[in-house]
Amino acid sequence: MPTAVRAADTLQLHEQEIKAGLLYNFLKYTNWPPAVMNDGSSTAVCIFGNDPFDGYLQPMAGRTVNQRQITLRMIHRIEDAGTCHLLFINADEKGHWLQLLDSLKGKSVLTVSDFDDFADSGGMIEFGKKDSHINVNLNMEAVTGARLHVQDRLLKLVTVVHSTSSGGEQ
Amino acid sequence: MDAPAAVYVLTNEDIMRSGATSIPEALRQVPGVQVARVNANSWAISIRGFNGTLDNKLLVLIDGRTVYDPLFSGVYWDIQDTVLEDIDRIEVIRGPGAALWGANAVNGVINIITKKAQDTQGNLASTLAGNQDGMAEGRYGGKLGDDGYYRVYAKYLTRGDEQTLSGGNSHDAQEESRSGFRTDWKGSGDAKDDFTVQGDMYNSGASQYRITSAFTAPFSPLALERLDARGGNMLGRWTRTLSDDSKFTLQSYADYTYRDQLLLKDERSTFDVDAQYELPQLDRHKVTIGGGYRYSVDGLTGTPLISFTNIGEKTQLLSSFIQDKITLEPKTWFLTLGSKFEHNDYTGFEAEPDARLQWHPDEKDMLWTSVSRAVRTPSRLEEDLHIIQATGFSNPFLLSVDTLPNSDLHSEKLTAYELGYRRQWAPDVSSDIAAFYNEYHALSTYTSVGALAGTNPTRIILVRLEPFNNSWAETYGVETVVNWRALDSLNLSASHSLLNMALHGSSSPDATETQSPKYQANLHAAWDVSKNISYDAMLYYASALAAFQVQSHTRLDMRLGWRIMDGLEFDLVGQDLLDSSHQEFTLPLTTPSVLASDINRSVYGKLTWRF
Repeated sequence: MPTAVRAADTLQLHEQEIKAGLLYNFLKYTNWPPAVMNDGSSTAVCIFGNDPFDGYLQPMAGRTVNQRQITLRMIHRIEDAGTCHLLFINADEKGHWLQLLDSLKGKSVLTVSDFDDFADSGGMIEFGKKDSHINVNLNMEAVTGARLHVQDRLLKLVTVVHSTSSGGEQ
Repeated sequence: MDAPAAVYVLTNEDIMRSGATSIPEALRQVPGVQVARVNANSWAISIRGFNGTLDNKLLVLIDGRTVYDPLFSGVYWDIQDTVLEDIDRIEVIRGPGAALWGANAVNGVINIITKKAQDTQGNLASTLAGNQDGMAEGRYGGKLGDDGYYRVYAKYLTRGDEQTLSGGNSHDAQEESRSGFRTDWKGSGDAKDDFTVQGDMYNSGASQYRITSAFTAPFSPLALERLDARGGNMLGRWTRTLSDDSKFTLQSYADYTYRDQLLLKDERSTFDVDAQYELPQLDRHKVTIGGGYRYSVDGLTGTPLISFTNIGEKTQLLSSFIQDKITLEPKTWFLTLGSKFEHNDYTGFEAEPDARLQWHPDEKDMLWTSVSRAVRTPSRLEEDLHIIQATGFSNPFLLSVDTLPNSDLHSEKLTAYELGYRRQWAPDVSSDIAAFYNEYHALSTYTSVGALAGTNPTRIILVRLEPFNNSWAETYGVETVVNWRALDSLNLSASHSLLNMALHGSSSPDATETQSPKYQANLHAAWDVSKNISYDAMLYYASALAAFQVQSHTRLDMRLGWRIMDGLEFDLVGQDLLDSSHQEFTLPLTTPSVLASDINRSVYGKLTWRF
């Protein structure tokens, strides 16, 4: 019994590690509008709610991406979300999501989470799980609506949902 | 031209007068063909869209021998060459040529046909030198007995370094030497037999910058790759003319190619035998049937970046076709029905039917329409190869993007609807217009199947891409050509093509709606100034490739020819005179792809001596 629990723990850890690792890639290959980028010198990566990464995100703090330093912040108030560049919403906070979404209107914040239907309800990047794979769904409509631009390098790694082109939806 | 299809024939004169120093460059004149030079040694060529260096849905043949490589469903243009003076014509068919040629003739067929040995008799020596190109070739043609002819040739060429996008040396030069022969003879005896045996061999070396992947910083290093290619082929053909309108042809060839690049080494041997029987006119029916067998075996040597399940693979392809040209009303209405049937090792049985209706209201006009189906069978790359496409640092882990094979991949399918009108307005003015609407289904695009934790090396996130038939598209457009022999000594021709594409399904940036230009236009003036001076001016326009940030481009080429004396001619050629350099294409910066170069303006002088 204890062995089985430990194995499950290990798998759980891997999942969160992968998500934490992919966040860095999102930062690297997303372009924020020039006005936002000129507004300070650090890229704010925020977590709304408790830390779901068990500290795996810590190594990112202080590192540079695209010539800007990364600062990590924990947010508990909806009003503070607008100051972030990337906002990860802990799945436990999904009840507050629609309120958060409303407060982020007009702001260029890249929203990421791992609860079901996140992308369908206006979230930008949703982590899903299938077998032992972590799927990444990107809501293109939401991304472009916030004046964000995702580079081809990142587009290759994700599945686009709610596309804005003349093509069909996935 | 009588064919109910969008056909354009590049004559030997068209090729020589254009000043083109290679087959890809000569193809620029053909309406509807997108020719994009990637660097000194490679080109991306396609018809009606989907241009790229891999998979451009085109079948290319040289004297009946297929030169498209099944490893990635494309053509290595760097090693397709011959003595250009000895090319009789290049027939380009836009649209599915499926009924006679088979799988991969999805968007078109390019058929390069060399002159018969009896038409290349005597000595030919030619050399050219310029800021980019260099070439020296010799050909000798003679008789074989009473009814036979032969020629032998040797050719050496160099393609000089172009520029990197930031103005440096792109180190993409190529040098190639090749030699070959062709013999044609008539059989003795009562039967009317024609025999041809021909062969070539080549050796080529080139270099170019390629983005590779590594598991340590800097992760995506630029490597200068050395590319070595060599090969040879031998082809035999026997044609028995049975009557005025009936003949039987049997053809067989063997082809060996070897290619050694940074990422992999590929050796392939192909053996092909084809038979075709044209039946005599029976009532209203003119039937042609044929069948063929192709056996191909390849050996891949991988590197840490490319691996595969099968090191050597043997594939067999069985194909057959039938075509019936039915006379609905003599000299006026004809209906051609045909189909090709194939069995290949990846997707099994495929049928490609084709129906064409042509109407000749009078001697000057021809109207035609067609509907056809074509397929592109998966390449070995898609079915079998595992490529580490890109690696990077995704703090605090390493990230690796891998493309995986999908052995269950289906063929891509096309249903094409075409309409064309050809008219001889006056003895010296003719036009040809073709419109098309293509529906593509089951297009294969590399799609993410998610990320997981890899173990090799440890602490790595693996993002996996697999090809799936999850895309579909519509393309439509029109191509027009007008030719006017203004004077006995002056010929003017203008062509334009329009291409619209709507792509659906996959969001992969590798397949985009703007990888081929929307507009292309050509103008060609061929002027025989005097008995000894000839002059050609060619203008080529291609609109921008928005997705690749390649700008629209207008290119002006000029050729001045001077016949110094009988058998001795000097040509002065300038290519891309309006720009010192420009970019024509680009490759995705994430895949293990080659760096595209800025193509330089080229000026050269050529001396041709026939004796």
